[in-house]
Amino acid sequence: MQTLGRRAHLAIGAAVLLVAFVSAGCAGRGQVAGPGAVSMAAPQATEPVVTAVTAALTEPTEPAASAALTSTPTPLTTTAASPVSTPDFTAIESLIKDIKDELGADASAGTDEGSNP
Amino acid sequence: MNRSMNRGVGLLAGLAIAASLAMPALAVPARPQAVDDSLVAQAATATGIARCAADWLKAKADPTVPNLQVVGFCEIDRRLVAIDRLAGLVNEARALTDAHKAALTTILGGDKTGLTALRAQIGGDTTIASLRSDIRKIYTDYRIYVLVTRQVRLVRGDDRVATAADRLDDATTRLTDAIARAKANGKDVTAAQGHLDAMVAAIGTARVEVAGDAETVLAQTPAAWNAGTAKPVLDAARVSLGAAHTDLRTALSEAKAVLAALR
Repeated sequence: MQTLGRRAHLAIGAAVLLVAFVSAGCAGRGQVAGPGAVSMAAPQATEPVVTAVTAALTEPTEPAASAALTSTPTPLTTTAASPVSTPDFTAIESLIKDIKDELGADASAGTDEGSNP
Repeated sequence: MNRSMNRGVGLLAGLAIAASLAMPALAVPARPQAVDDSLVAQAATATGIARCAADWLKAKADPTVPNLQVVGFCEIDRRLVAIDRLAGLVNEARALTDAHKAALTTILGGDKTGLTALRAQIGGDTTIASLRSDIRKIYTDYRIYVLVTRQVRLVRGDDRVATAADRLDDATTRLTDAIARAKANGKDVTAAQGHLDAMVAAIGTARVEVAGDAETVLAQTPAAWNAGTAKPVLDAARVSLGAAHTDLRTALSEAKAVLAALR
């Protein structure tokens, strides 16, 4: 009975370690190789979808203002099966946000002028 | 008893090892903070009107040459800090045209040189009358906040409108192709074409809204501000920029509507 109990505990411990290793391995793969993970998670996904996801994952992570000015729109790939994939509007959205920020800065600029008593 | 304890310890150790292996993978990466709050506070302190408030109070209570000189130094120094920050905004702005960048750089450089010279002049003033006159020049001859800062902000905004409109124009080309392909595949593209037309119209309106504004804004001077003619120009440019901003948002929304109609 005691031997059986020890084996059971050893088996549980080994199982926990195995799960931990597998979890860590999958998570690491997901962080580093996004497109590969997508392919694993959705092997039935069509190529345009994978391409779009890949494009999304490879967007530069620099600050929005810089990204808006340096990134180029993702080409609109059209195929017979999928006539439209999502263009990348990120740069345009960033520019529009920047314009709003400039308007805000303009509105508050005069408050620091003061007046000569 | 000891055996049970050993088993428990072993199990806990196993769980601890497992947790130590799993946690790094599960841990959410720390989100990089875009702006350090303390830096924002420092920026406001360095250039804001409050920076010189205590010096002003002291000079009003005791208007001596040294006290007025401190006021002049403080008012100039916070403007020099502001100019450096504006120069940074100009240099980093890739959306600015070369001509606009050059014009703003000239304005900022001239103001920095002038204020630095005025600072030296204030340091050499020996009478309260001359100090009051020179301190007044900090405002009337430069208008760093009400004019120059607004010039930088508005011109940056205007040039961003042009850049965003260019990118939206690129998108219209792709969306036109997409509509043609969908139509060739037998899809009803009436709605998509309607959204595309609205998008094109909004882009055009945005461009018209700010056309020539940057040049007009850049032409304003402290003298024009003092005469009361510059502020209406800047305010009108601000209204136009706001309208263009709305137009661009409309164009982007219509672009997304085109895609939705084709799905």
